[in-house]
Amino acid sequence: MSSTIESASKNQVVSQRAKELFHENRTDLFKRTDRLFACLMVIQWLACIFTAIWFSPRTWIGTYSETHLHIWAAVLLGGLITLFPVCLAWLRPGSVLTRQVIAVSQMLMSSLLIHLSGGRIETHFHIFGSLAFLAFYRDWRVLASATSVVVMDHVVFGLTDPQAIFGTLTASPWRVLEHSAWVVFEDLFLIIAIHQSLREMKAVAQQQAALEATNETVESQVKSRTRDLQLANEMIAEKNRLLQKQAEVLKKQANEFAEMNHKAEQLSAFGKILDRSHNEIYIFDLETLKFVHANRGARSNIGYSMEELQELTPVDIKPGQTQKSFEELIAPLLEKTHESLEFKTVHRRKDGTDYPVQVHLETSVLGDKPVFVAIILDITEQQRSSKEIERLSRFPDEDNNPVMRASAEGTLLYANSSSNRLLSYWGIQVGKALPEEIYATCQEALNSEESVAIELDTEEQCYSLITTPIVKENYVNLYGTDITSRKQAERDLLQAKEAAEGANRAKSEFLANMSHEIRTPMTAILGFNDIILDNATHPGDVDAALTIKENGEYLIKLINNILDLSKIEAEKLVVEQVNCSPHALIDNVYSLMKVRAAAKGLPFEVHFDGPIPETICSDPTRLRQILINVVGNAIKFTETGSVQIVTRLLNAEDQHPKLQLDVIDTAMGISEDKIESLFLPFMQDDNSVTRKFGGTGLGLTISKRLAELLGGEISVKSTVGKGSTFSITIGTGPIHNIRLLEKNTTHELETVSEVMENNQAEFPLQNQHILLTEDGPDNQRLISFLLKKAGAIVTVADNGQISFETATAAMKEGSPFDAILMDMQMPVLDGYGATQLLRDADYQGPIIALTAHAMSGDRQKCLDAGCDDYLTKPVDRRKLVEVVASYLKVSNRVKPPKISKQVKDDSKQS
Amino acid sequence: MTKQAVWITHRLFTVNTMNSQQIAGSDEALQVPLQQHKHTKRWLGLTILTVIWICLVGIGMSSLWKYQTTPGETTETPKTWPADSMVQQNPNRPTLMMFAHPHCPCTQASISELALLMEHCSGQVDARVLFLKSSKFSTEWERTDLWSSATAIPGVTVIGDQDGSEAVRFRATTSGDVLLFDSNGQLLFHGGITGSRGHTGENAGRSAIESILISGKAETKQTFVFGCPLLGQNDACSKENQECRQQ
Repeated sequence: MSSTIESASKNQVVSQRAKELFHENRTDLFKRTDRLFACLMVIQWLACIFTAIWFSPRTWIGTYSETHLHIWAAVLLGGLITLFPVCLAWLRPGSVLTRQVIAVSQMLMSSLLIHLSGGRIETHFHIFGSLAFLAFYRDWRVLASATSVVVMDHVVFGLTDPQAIFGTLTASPWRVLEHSAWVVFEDLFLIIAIHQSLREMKAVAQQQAALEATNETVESQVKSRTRDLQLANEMIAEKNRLLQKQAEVLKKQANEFAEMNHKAEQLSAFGKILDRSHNEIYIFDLETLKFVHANRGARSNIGYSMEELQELTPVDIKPGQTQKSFEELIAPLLEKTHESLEFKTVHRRKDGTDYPVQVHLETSVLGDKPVFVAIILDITEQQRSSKEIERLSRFPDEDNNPVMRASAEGTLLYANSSSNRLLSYWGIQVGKALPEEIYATCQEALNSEESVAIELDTEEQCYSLITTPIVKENYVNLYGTDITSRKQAERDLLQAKEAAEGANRAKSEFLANMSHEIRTPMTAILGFNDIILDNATHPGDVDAALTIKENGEYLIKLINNILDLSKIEAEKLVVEQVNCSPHALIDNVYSLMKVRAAAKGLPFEVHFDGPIPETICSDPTRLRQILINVVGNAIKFTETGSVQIVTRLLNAEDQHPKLQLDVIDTAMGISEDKIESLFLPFMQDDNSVTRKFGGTGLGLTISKRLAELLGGEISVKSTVGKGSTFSITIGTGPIHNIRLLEKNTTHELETVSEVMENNQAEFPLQNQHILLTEDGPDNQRLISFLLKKAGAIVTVADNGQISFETATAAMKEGSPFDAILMDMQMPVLDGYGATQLLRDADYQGPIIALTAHAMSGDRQKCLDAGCDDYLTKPVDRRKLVEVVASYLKVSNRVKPPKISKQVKDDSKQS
Repeated sequence: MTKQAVWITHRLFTVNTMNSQQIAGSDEALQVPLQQHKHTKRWLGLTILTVIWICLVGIGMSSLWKYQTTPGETTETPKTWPADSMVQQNPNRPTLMMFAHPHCPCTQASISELALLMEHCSGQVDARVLFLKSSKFSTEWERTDLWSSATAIPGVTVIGDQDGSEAVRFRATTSGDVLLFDSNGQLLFHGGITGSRGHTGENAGRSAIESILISGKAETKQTFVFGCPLLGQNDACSKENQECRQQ
């Protein structure tokens, strides 16, 4: 019964709440719609002003214009219509008056728009739109007010001026009714929609009120349950707190027990450790002095068991110790004047052996019994170590060499007895500062953390002192070595070396002088011999002259080889690096050597194994010398078969390409054991070879050294009975921009041939005025004779000074010499100085050096002095004439290009 | 607890105990008449304000209405085509002459009505629109949107009337003034073809002209002209034969 009453009253409350919610929702709706219209009306007003400005900005009276009345109407009348409802919407939103005024003003705004647009039909839709918007209020009375305004507007203005409203001249009541009917028609539907909407709002309010009531019921139940739950939680928490306190007490007790247990375990472990210790621990009674306990270390070392020891006293294990003396020993402990005693003594083992010990003795309590505790350290090993250390510490003193130690600050910390002599020299002793020089060395060693060696020369002795840093401990050890005898030996060696170098210099000077001195007379001998040979008709005379020529040439060749070898061994031979044509060089060697081969009836061929560079960077003179030597040997030793030169380029793509020239012969071959000695000086295959073929035995030695200087080598492959292959390789220099040719197509040989052809004329120097500068009267006569024989007019000057004066005088007279032959070694002024003076005096003609110095370095020296070319003594008459003629011919035409000159150089050397 | 829940709890409590409690309080009882008095005063004030607002709006609307419906000056129009007119009369069919101010916003409605008229009576009338062309302004002064609109109507010839010389000859004083002459140069109709200022739609002028052109007769031969004064001198009259306002 009570639940029925409660349910009824609850329904009543929900119904009341639903009404209030409906009312609140409607009020909210009214306010929202008021705000909507407030915004809308302001926008309409602005649109109205814009429309007036756009369509009718000004009215015209002829040519005079003023603001159109529509604009004032839009601004003022539109403002009046708009602002009052807007103010009401702002100040009294939701009130009946506000929405009624808004409805009326909205319709008035429609009317104003219609008037301003001249009654356009489109603006009539504003009325229908406004009614639709007003339906947002969901209040049919608003629609009624708005409709009344429309109807009244149509009735009043339609009857007074129908044309403005309906666009017709007369206002038909049916027309008024038609317009009004459309409005009412829309109103009808809007009112139906409003009615339905209100019903829905009421239903929503009813549901919302029911939901709120349900929520409240659920919430109150949840609160009640929550309260009960909180009470239960509080009780549980209180019990938990009590339990926690009890647990903490128990935990504390457990920790205390654990700690005590841990301490007991530690003590037990400590006792075990002590028992296992190798140190001897004895506990003996204070009164009876009998052992109570001895640890395992003690028992093990002394050899007694525990039972045996318990029957003994310390006096029993100390040889020489008496009861009385022991009591005296421990008296300070008993009298408590000392807390402990430290002393050394000797213990005797069970087996009778003694061992030294160090004893620490003190009184203690075992249980409640006073006892002595003796901790014994067996010092047998310690004593042995001490003796060893003492023996080792004597080691530096036993050293015969000085051994010292110094601090980083330079103070001498230690010096062995062998250092006394050195310390006396320095004037210091241990504890004093080292000399400045030695201190600086010590600092250097410490800074670099490396040993530094210096040599000390006292007046009596020499020492090598090695300073070794001990960086960790910041001091330096100095180890001295007596090197007096070694220094003496070095001094002797130096003197011997200087003597040897002096002798070598003397030898070189002797060789150079000998070369010059032999060449100078040989020039005259061979020159005049040639003259005799030219004029001799008797066969005996010819043979004799030929013998003189051959022996003379051999002598010159021998001198050249000895000079070359001498320079090579003294490492003074310098090779040139100039561009030269390998084709021309090989052709030249071929031309030269084919005569010899033909004389022996041997075929001599040159082959190219692939293309080789047009030019290489090397020393053509030395390469030619090597080739002539090796090919000459091949021809010399080959009796039957042939001799070939095969040329190929090696490592063409490499950075260091090489030219290989294989000289292949079919001689008797060389056995393997002889090949190694082939390149030793003065060595030939065997002595019979020398006897049979002659030769100095220097050729291959020089060739090998020259090949090495040219960046290559000479190797030999030989088969006894079949023949040998001498492979000569030399560096070519960079060839990446050089053409590769199969065989020689250059014109250098043509140039040589041309010169040679030209020189075949009978008087190649016809009417050429030549100044011969030569100090030797024999050579003056010989060379003058040769030149005159070739048609030249010769003037002789005895030295460089005379030569310079004569040549400059001739230049001043307007008839300068066509060429000057210049000896380079002369008294007063040598050829180098004279040539430089002549060039400075603007002498333009060729100056050709003539010297007994036959080395290539000498040639370069002459060219540097200003000479155009270079001829060696003894003079080859044919070469002399050829060279001079070539320059005279060229100077009359055009100066030859450099490359041609180079080739001529090569040809002249042959 | 939400606001609604508080309210419901309060109401439940109130319902259960409603019969046993006295709702009384001397202060509250005194406050009620004071509030009612205040409310009435406020309502009265608002009502007065609303009435004043309605009155002001009514006055404004009436003024606008009056302006809209006030025609231009009406003058005595020549009964025949002026002999000194520079405009050629069409001897084969009726000639319609419209005088317009190129900048008059109201005349747009007249041009629109003319367009309708020309569409209804295509080929039956030769129409000319004469726009005022003032020597005070630049040469393009008269070339407005109205000019373009008129030019776009088929059968209409647009002519510039230099300083309104032709308007004077035809005695046209208001923009939108229309004169219809027959092929013999006799005046058939004179007046405007809009119902009010700038107001398009059915009107007496257009109806009369269409009737004349189609049936040869019409009940109305003259209407008011709504538009800006064409020549700007003593030409704005509120009603025909009534007082004129000085410019």
